[in-house]
Amino acid sequence: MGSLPNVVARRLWQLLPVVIFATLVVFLLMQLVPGDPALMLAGDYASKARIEEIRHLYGFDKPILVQYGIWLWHAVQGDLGNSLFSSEPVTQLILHRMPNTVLLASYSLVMAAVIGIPLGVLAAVRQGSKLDQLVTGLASLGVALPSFWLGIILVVHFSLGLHWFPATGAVPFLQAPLDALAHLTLPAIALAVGVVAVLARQIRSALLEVLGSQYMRTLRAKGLSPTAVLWKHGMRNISATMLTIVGLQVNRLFSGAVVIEAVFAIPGIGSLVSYSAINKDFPVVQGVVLMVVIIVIMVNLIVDVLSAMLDPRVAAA
Amino acid sequence: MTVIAVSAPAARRPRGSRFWRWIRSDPRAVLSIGFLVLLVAVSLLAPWVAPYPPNAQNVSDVLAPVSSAHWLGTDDLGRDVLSRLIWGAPNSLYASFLAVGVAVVLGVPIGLFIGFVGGWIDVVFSRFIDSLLSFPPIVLAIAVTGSLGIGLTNAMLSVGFVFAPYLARLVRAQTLVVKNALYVDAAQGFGATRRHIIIRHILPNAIQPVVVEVTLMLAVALLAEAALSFLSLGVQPPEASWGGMLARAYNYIEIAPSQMYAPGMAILLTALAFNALGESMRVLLDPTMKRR
Amino acid sequence: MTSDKRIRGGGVDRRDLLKGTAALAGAALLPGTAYAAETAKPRRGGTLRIAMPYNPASIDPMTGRNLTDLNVLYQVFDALIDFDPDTIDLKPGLAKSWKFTDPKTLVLDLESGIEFHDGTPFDAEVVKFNLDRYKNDKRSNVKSDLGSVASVEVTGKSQVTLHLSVANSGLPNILTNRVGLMVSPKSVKDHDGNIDRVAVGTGPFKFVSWEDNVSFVLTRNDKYWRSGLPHLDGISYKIIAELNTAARTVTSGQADLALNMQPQQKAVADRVKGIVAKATPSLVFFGAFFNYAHPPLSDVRIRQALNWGVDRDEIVKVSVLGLGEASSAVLPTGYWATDPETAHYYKYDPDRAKKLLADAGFAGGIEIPTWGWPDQNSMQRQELLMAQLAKAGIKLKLTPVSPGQAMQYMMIEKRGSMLISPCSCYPDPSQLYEALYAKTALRNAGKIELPGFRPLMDATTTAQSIEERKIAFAKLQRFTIEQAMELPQYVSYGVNIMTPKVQNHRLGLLTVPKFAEVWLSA
Repeated sequence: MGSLPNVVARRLWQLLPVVIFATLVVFLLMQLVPGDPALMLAGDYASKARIEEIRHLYGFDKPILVQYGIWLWHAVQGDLGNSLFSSEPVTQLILHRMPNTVLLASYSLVMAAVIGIPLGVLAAVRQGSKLDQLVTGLASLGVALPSFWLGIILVVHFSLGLHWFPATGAVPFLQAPLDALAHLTLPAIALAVGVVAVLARQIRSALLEVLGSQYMRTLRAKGLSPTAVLWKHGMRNISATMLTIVGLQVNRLFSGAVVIEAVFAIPGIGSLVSYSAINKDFPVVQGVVLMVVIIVIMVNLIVDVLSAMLDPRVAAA
Repeated sequence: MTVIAVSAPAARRPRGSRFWRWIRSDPRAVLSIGFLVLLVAVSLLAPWVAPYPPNAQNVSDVLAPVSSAHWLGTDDLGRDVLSRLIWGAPNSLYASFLAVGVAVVLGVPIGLFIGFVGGWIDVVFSRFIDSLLSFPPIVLAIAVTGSLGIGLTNAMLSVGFVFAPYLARLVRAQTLVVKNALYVDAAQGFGATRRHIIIRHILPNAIQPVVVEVTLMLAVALLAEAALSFLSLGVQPPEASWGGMLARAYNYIEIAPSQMYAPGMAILLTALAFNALGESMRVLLDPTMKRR
Repeated sequence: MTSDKRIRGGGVDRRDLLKGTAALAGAALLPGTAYAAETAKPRRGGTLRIAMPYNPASIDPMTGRNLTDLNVLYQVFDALIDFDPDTIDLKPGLAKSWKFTDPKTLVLDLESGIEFHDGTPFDAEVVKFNLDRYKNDKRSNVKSDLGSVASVEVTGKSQVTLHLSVANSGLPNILTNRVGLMVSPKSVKDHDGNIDRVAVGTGPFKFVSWEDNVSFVLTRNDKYWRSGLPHLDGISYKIIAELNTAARTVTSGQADLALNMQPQQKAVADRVKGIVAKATPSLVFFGAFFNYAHPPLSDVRIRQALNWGVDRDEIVKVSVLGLGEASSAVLPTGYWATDPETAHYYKYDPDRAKKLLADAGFAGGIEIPTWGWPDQNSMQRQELLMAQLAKAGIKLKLTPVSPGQAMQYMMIEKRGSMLISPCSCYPDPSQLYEALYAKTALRNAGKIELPGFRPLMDATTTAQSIEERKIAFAKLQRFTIEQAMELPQYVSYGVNIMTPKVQNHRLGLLTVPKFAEVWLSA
């Protein structure tokens, strides 16, 4: 356990170049977009002179790397700039929308874990059985299912048809928790299905590996019942792996959220980033990418730390 | 999962007989190969198979339900949905193969290179690859499509760009394993050139998991095409693509909800076929998987 | 007004038109209480709950950018000159009267005794402050609106005189819009000149709060200068970007009114019992911009061929479900500046289009590089256009790009020959024509003026009386249509969805409501 602080320090140190690389890549990409943000800023009634003026006013006429440097310098101080379109501070814009996306992702992750992990374990324990085949088959189906198509089908049947859930939109969780969850249930299901499939599949094969190991065989040879082997040794051995697998899904969830938020009209950071990218609102795209990358890396860090606590071998490694 | 046992190069085995044994023992592979062959055939024969031209509009018969004249109904401009589905097949396949092709062309050489030379180049590139992998893939694909411009080809180039680091990392890991194995040392001892080592020894061994990964990626690319088309980034008027059809159908979700089933099923079945094929090949190529 | 002509578009609510004319008669006598006779007893009280798809970019009239911003601005700010929503005929606002003493001098006589929401008085100095700010501030997006104004002079406690550099009889119309909105000078000073996110006006409602992309709250101005108004206690806007979601808040009872809807939402709402879906003509037209400085569209015959080759009725029927007016002009018939005689000049005639093409040397057909938009509604309309024009031998080589990119490529980089795009409205029609066809206009891709255009254009702002202006606009309209300077397809309708409780809500041609006189029935 003594190396735990080291793990954390090392991870945090690794964060820095990744964040710089990631934001630089996005910054350069956004510069390549041929549309001119000054044009949109000038609005419906733009004159040519006004567009030139705006370009200068917002610094679009400066060299790219200078613009990036300015952005980075402000970002370090916690200022991500203002949206080019709503003139709202980007930090505030992200903070307003982040709760919806985080709630959607966590809701979905919990759903996926509650269903996916037991399915994976059951399939591994009953390897080769009808149940195993069913789980494996469903997992293949889940991976191949376009999540937003599933989302649309859910809306058609459960919202427009049966009126069980609101079709689209979101409400703030703190104001009306139950209503918020009701709004996010269908999107969370649509998002969770792919994750359930991946979890079930990966946990099945990870557990099979553990159960097939020499150590487990020895335990069984010693006369321990299969249930005891599974619960006392198998699950403990695999808990760290499970955590890692679940942690890796965070990236997938954020990715899926971009499209799911579009289907369900959820004002989250996914819909924010796609809208902003199309409209060349660089400060917002940059800000969202920065936040998401930091979140993904922090989640992985937390997973590493927890794994190390669950399984000392990981920390030692 | 991605690390396979380093054995002698696969090429030395009698390939033909093994293939047939695999086919016979794995109905899933038969089904998926059968479906994909059928899909390719339909794509090639679209002009003869499709009952109507894909862009023939009939504005007095829009959003029509299933009928004997239109087996899958008509869309919002009165075009035959079945015909568009058939004509969409080559476009959707093209999209998937393009994306994966780009990923292979970018990812495999980079992975081989950094894995082989090692040192600081490996460290820098690996860090770069890690930072690309920490992006949610769709976010990156949206940003790249934004810069290349809207359109099916551009959207899929972006998806390929996003996939490339995954392949690069996989190939790098394989290369390291093979490089450290004894026989490469031996080959170097005999004074083989670098190119010779890479082509003769490393590539054949590293390629197996790549083939599996690439097949699985075709499914992901197909889903990505649908997603980007849904976000209006992959459109190519008036050509049909499954993702584009789905996006258009969503526009009429309250008026004609049945519009979205056909393109969605097409995407699902094709993705399923690619996945099943990939999984079957993984079992075939990785002897340790058979026991599981 | 000639409101009977407006019925031609089809699908217009006739009662609306009648209301409009009735209101007009009253408006001349008693601004503010005009509807008392017509709508029985307006009920005081209640909060109007609105769903709207657009978040304003700013609530400073000067830095905002889009027409939909006015959904909020018109409730908080009064304009110097008011207008009738159905006809855009002018009515007194903060200025109780105005007149040109000569073509280059406009004198405004102001109402007195009016206070801003912050208690500061409204007077001539305030008007000068505002107009100078709109004209000179470096963040102003509306400078060009006041391009003809050389200086603003305070000529009395309640009188300002605008000295113009060129005659511009359209100026009073312009003063109904952004540059006519009067903000409190104190609020500008208090916020160091940046009032993008605070609004202090003299209007019927006071600004309370704005949460970006979420909500907007306004409350009744109890000291509103038009006595007895407003009827409502307040307005709460919910900003919901997705149109179907926004419409659903009304059908499910969470909101009373959904603004800025599309025909699809009307089709859905029409099936819901007890919901009112209204579609009324607007000034937003859907067309395609040409680059007529370069081949192939420098040849008028090819531009005309495009116009003959488009079946506008079919486009209206399919792409906006009949809720629009097929038109060869860029303004709706029924609007004062539109000449109904040439408004339907081009009828669908692919053979004539083919003949014109052949005359121009393209008997075998022609391919035209075209920009379009990538959203599904635009895609549908574009695919329809492509199929129609293909029958006339014209192939559109369409590349969809985001709206901003489309403008960049077409208008600044001068690539491509055509851009399919809607165009939103301007307070004075002369501004629209200038914005489309003037040499320096952003939307004029070729940056040239066709011979004969300029004198006709200038005549619309030098003509003084409304009758003279009408004649000038009719001539200009005929010229632009005969020269086929554009490919107009239809003028769209504004669509609102509401519960029957909402009374006296008139969307009008500008498709921007004013809620002072709106009330909720019990």
